[in-house]
Amino acid sequence: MPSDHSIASDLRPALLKLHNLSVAYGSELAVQSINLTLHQGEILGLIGPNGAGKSTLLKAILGLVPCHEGRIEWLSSLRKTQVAYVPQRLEIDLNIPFTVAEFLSLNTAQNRWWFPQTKADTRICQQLQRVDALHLSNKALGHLSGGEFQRVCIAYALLQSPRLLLLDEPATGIDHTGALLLEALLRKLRDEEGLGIVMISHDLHLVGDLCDRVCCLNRQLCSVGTPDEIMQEHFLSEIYGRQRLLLSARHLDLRKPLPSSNPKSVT
Amino acid sequence: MDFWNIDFMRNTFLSALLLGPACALLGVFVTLRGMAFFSDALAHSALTGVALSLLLQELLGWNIDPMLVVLLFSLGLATAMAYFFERTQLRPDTIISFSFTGSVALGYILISMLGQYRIIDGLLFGSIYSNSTPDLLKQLTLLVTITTFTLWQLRPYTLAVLQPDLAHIQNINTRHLNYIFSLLIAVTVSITLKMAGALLLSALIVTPAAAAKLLAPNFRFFLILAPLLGTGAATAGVLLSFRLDSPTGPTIVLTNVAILILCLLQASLRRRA
Repeated sequence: MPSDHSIASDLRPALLKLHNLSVAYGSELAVQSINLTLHQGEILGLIGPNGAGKSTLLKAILGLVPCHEGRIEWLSSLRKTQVAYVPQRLEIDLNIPFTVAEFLSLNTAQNRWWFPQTKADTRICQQLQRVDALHLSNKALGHLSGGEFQRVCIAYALLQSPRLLLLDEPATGIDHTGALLLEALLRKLRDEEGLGIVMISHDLHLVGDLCDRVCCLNRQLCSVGTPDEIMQEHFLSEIYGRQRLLLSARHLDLRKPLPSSNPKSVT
Repeated sequence: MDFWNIDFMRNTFLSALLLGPACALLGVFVTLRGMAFFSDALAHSALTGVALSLLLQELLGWNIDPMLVVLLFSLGLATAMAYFFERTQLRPDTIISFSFTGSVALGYILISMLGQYRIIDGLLFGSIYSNSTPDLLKQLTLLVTITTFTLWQLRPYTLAVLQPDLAHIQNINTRHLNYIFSLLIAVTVSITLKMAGALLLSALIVTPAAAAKLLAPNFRFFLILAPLLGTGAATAGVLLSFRLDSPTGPTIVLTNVAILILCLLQASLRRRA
């Protein structure tokens, strides 16, 4: 029987439950037998090495790739439009003169056929204000820094008034200040608006600081627990190998004694 | 003006007014998707389309409008390339390159086998003087179709190009939009062939959009400026070709390139300042 790695005592409603979910590309399984629950007002970190299936899992949740096996159970009151996604990057030549406000306008009023004037669209201004990016509204997308771009993408997602936010490596290419701003923003969205957030990240420092629970994924779910439980040498070296762990040790206090509770190991 | 009283000159000028903005508007999305080489390949494949129509006439006695055969061949080539993009490990530019050269080679072999060398010049560089009223109607239809598609699908298609995953989430069928867009390029190639020829016509699509991209501070301005520059260059090119008695298609293309160079200079001066 599949085990469910939610916090048993959590009374908040589950936005999302993955039941024995597998995704395959051709004959090769990208992720296998994932059982996982995400609650409202919870930040769930997905960590794992490259090729572990993190982005695939996110895409399966979004319906961008079909599930090979298993199913996804959604909270009944959750509408599809309330699930927002923040991609890692855009696909175009960033020298195209596309402003931040024009990009955001693509997620408002689907029936409008033209791009509105920035100042006229108060919803766009409000969301940019929330992510501290109102001053960027007329800036071209290609001229944004990594941190600015991520904040703009989050503002884009917030236009949907989401209850579930899926972030694909939001901290990639962001400097320390940008990471702090991102962290504060996600914390605010969780605490003040009760958003459920799934975040893929290679930044173990950010994951450790921000997430309520962390899942280690390597095609299968290796372990799930609180950051304190997961950020332990034996778990991380199992996932990333010894070399990566030595690098991470500079950021994480891995020498502290193990807490009494242990993460639930799947393997 | 004198030229207005001469049928072919008036038709040529009207063609410039219709095809200039149509090609440039299409060029905005060609530039956005990085498909300049793709549209170039489809343009060159027109040579084979015309050769095939001659072959059908010669072998089977079928008198089919060459424009229709060009359209069908470009569509077939676009579909084949799209299939290879999705199903093979080769990079898109490699796929475009062999499709492009392969179709041109086939076209030339067919033309030489049929002994129709006299049509080569017109095919490669345009023969706008043979423009008739039905041609003008086709060009008007093209302008209306491209403008309608742009206005109707502007936001969904822009999102599909910017970030296909975000578009999927919003229930936008990116695959259908991409096919419609390839179809539009193929139709544009078949209708614009007379004006600029297979060798030059992609310049009418790409160059005004490239120039507008350099000047525009935002996407709205880019969408308006590109067709304006396209119209300006095409009409100025036609008038210049009358005055200089030069071939019309190449003169239009050179006018486009001159405008692009001016925009490049302006952009580089602005960057220095």
